Amino acid sequence: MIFRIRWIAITLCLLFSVISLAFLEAAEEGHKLRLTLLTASNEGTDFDLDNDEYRDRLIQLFSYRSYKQVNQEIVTVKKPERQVIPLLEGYELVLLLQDEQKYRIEVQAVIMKEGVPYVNTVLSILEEGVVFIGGPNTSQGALILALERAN
Amino acid sequence: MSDSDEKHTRNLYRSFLRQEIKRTDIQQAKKELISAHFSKEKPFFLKPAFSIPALSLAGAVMFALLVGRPLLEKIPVPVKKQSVRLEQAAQPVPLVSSVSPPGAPKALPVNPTLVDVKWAVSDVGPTMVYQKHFQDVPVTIIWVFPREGKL
Repeated sequence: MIFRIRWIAITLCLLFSVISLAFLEAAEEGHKLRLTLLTASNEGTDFDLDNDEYRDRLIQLFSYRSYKQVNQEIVTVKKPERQVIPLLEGYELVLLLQDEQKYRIEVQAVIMKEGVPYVNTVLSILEEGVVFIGGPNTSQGALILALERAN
Repeated sequence: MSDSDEKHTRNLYRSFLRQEIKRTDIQQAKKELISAHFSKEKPFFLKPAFSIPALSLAGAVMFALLVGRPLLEKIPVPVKKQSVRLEQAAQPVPLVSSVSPPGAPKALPVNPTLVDVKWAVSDVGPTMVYQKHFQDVPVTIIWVFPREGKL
């Protein structure tokens, strides 16, 4: 009887271990963020964007006349990895996942150039949240980074 | 004793011993006798007094990990998008300036929003954090105004 109980306990432990590992592995997949890199200027009136939805947003949010999409990519952030994404003309974005809950994640985002932080911020983002970070001057105009959840 | 008697006796013994070997109840009784009085000393971790509580505890921990985590995550109830209504500012309202140290308390929006800026600082100039509504969805903007000669 004792042997039978022991084997049942061992089997249950193994089962729990496998399920726990599966859950932990799923949690370690990280969170996806969509980064859209734009330049804005007052030279011309061109809108060179892949997504027309951004056009309307940009018109309402900013007062530039011309916008150009430079890049768009999906970045996966997970603890404790630091993601470094090259932007434009030496600027780079550093992303670090600081906290995660079921619907909300907390991410530190730093735009820096040559080791000098242009902006250093910590954002708590819900699933449908969008944040625009901007201001760096480049030869193509002001750099605007749109950051939103992609999963 | 004659040869035939001796042969007969030998056959009787052999037959008796064979029948005894075949009897499973005797085999089982012998095994139990050996197990009860002549068994090898088991390592302490295999003894039921230790292994059963240890395995039960491990199972309980696994169960707590699996069941407890979703329960904990349910505590902070996310606010639905429809319930988030912030007044749109006619002019961008600075919420955080570059002089705010990262650890200082923040005068940020009281209501939870899709994007909550915990803090934002810059080494190159004043930082402005504000929100504008786009199709009833608040969009957060972080803008840095670099000083002359900074980046």
